[in-house]
Amino acid sequence: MNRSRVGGLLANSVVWGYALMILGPTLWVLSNAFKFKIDIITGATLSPFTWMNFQELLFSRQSDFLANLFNSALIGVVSTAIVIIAATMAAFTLAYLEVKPWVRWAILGWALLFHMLPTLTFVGSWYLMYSSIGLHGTYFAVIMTHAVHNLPMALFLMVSFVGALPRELIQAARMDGCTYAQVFWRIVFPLVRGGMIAATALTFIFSWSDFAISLTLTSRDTMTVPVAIATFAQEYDIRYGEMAAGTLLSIMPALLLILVGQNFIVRGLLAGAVK
Amino acid sequence: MSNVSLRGLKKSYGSVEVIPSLDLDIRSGEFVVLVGPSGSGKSTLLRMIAGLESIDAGTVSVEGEDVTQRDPGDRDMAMVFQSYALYPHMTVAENMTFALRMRGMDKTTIGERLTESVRMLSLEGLEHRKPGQLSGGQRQRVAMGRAIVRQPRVFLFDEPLSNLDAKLRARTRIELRELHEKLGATSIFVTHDQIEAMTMADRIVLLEKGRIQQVGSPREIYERPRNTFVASFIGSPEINMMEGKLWFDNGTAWFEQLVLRSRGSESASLAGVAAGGYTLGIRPEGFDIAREPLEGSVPMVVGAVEYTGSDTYAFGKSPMGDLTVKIAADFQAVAETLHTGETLHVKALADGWHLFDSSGERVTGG
Ligand SMILES: Nc1ncnc2c1ncn2[C@@H]1O[C@H](COP(=O)(O)OP(=O)(O)O)[C@@H](O)[C@H]1O
Ligand SMILES: [Mg+2]
Repeated sequence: MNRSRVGGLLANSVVWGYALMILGPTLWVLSNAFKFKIDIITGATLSPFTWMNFQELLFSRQSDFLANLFNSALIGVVSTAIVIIAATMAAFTLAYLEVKPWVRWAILGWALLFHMLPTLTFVGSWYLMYSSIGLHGTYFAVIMTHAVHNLPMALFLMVSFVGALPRELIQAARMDGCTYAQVFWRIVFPLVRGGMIAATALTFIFSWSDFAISLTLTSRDTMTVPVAIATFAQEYDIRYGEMAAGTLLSIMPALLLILVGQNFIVRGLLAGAVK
Repeated sequence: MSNVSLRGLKKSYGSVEVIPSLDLDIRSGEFVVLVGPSGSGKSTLLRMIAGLESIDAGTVSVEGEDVTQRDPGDRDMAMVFQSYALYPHMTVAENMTFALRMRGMDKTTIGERLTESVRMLSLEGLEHRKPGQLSGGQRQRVAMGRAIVRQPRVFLFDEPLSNLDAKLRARTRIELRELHEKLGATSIFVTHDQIEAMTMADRIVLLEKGRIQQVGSPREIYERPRNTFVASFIGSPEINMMEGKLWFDNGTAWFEQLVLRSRGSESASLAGVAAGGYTLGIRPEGFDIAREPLEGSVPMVVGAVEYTGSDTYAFGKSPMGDLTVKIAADFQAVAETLHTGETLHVKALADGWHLFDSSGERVTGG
C-alpha cells in the first residue's frame, strides 16, 4: 500500500465516522417519528408504521404545535429582517464611509467577542430586564433578543461580502452623482444580494433553532418549536414519538433554507471575487 | 472646458502626511499629467480634486468657483479608474448612461449622447453586453465612454492604461490624445509611467512624497531637470549620476577626469560657479565615444551591449562609476563589433551634462 492510499483511507474513515455521528441519531429520531411508543421503548428496529405521532402532535388538545410553528416562523422572519437590514447597512458604513479605524475595530471586535460568549451567560439578565418592564413573554422580547444575538454573525458575513466590492466601484458611482443612499441601493445592494440571501438563510436558521433564549423569554402563547419539543420530555413520561415527529417537522424549513442558501453562499462568494 | 486651481491642499492619513501643501494651476483645455513613483500621492491628489477624499486644508476651484465642499457628483468632473470600475450588473449602455440617468436627463438626449460616444469609441454592437463579457481593451473604452457621455468640465484619469498590454497601451495613448484634441476638455491624467507622461502631456507635474518637484512641458522637464530626482525619474535608460569635484584649470572646467564644455563660449554656463563637490548627471545620449583616449575622456570597460532595434546602449564600468552610454548612429559600425571586455573612451558632449549641488538642486548645465 502506498502512502496516498493510506491517506485516502484515513480521510475516508474520518468522513464516514463523522457522518455516522450525525446520521445515526438523525436516522434514529426520524424512524421514531413513525413508530408506536412501545416499539420505541423496546428498541425494535423493524416495527409497524404509524402516523399517530403526527396526529397527536398537530391535532391533539394537549399540543399547541401549530401555534408553536407559527411563533417560530414569526419570530424568525421578523428578527431576521431586522438583522439583515441592520447588518448590510452597517457593513456598508464600516467599509466605505469615513469611520475612524478604532471605531471599526471596536465594533467588529465587540461583535466577535459577543458571538463567542455562551448565550446562557446573558439569558438570566435578559429575563430580569424584560420582566422588570413587563415585556417578558411577548413577541417583542424574543424578537429583539434574537436580533441582538444574531446580529454579530450577520454583520461579519455582510462586512466580508460588502467589503469585497472594489472601492473604486463606489467611487465611480459617487462621481456619477449618487448620494451614499443611492450608492447603497443601486450598486451595493444588487451586487451583494447573493451574500444577503446566504446571511438571511443562516440568521433565520439560528433564530429557528434557538433554545436558550426562547426557553427563558417566551410564555405559553409565544413558545417556539424547540421549546415545545423539549416540553415533551416530562418527569415521568418522555414522549419520544411526538418529539421525533416535531423534530422532523421543524427540520423541514431549515433544510429548505440551507439548500437555497448554500447555492447563494457559493454564488455570493464568486460574485465578490470577480471584478 | 475650464481651468482648475488648487490652493494649499493638504492631506494626512493619521500621522502620515501624504500631501504636505500643494498649489497648482491647470489651464483650460490643458492635458496635464501627474507623474511620480508609486506611493507619491498621485491618486490621493486626484481623488481630492474629484471630491472622493476629504481635504484637511486648502481649496479646489474650477473656473474660479470654489468647489471644495461640493459632492463628487456636483463638480461636473468625470473620472476613469485604473480598474475601470464598471458596474458589473449593468450593460455597457446602462454603465455609460448611468450618470445621465441619475441627473434625470431626458431619454432622447441620453440616447443621442450614447450613440455619439459609442461611435466615437467604436463600441458598436457591444451596448447590451455586461462588463464581464468584454475584453480588457473593450472595458477600458467603456470606462472612457462613461466619462465622455457626461461632457464634463474636467476629465480625471487614474492610470487608465496600466492594465492594458504594451501594444494596446501604446495605441490607446495616441487615441486618448486624439480624443483630447477633439473634445478639448481639461484633463488631469495620473500615471507612474514616465513614457506616458512624456508622450501625452501638454505639461507634466512631477510629484514625489506629495510635493511637486517640477512643473513643465515634457521638453523642459527632460532638458532642464530642476533636481536629481527629476533627472533620474524622467528618461530611459536612466541618467548617469556621478558624485565628485568640480575644478578649473586655465579656463577649462573639469569634473574629476571629465571636461565639461558648453556650446558657444567655452564653459560659459559654468561662469560664476565655485569649485567643489557636486553631482553630475549625463544622459546616455550625452556622451561622445571614441576608441582612443581624448582630452577629458574617461575609459569605460564594456560589460554588456543592449541592442533595441533603433538604438544600441553600452553598459560598463569607468573610474567614475557604472555608466550607460548610447552608441550614436554614426558609431554604429563600432556597435556591431563591440563586445564585452573592450575599452571605450567617453567624454561629455558640450551641454550634454547637468550639474547639481550637494542638496540635489540644479546648478547649471544642458
Ligand atoms: N486610505 C488610506 N489610508 C492610509 N494611507 C493611505 C490611504 N490611501 C493612500 N494611502 C497612503 O498614501 C500614500 C499615497 O498613496 P497614493 O495616492 O495611492 O499614491 P500613488 O497613487 O501615487 O501610488 C501612500 O503612502 C499610501 O500608502
Ligand atoms: Mg495610484
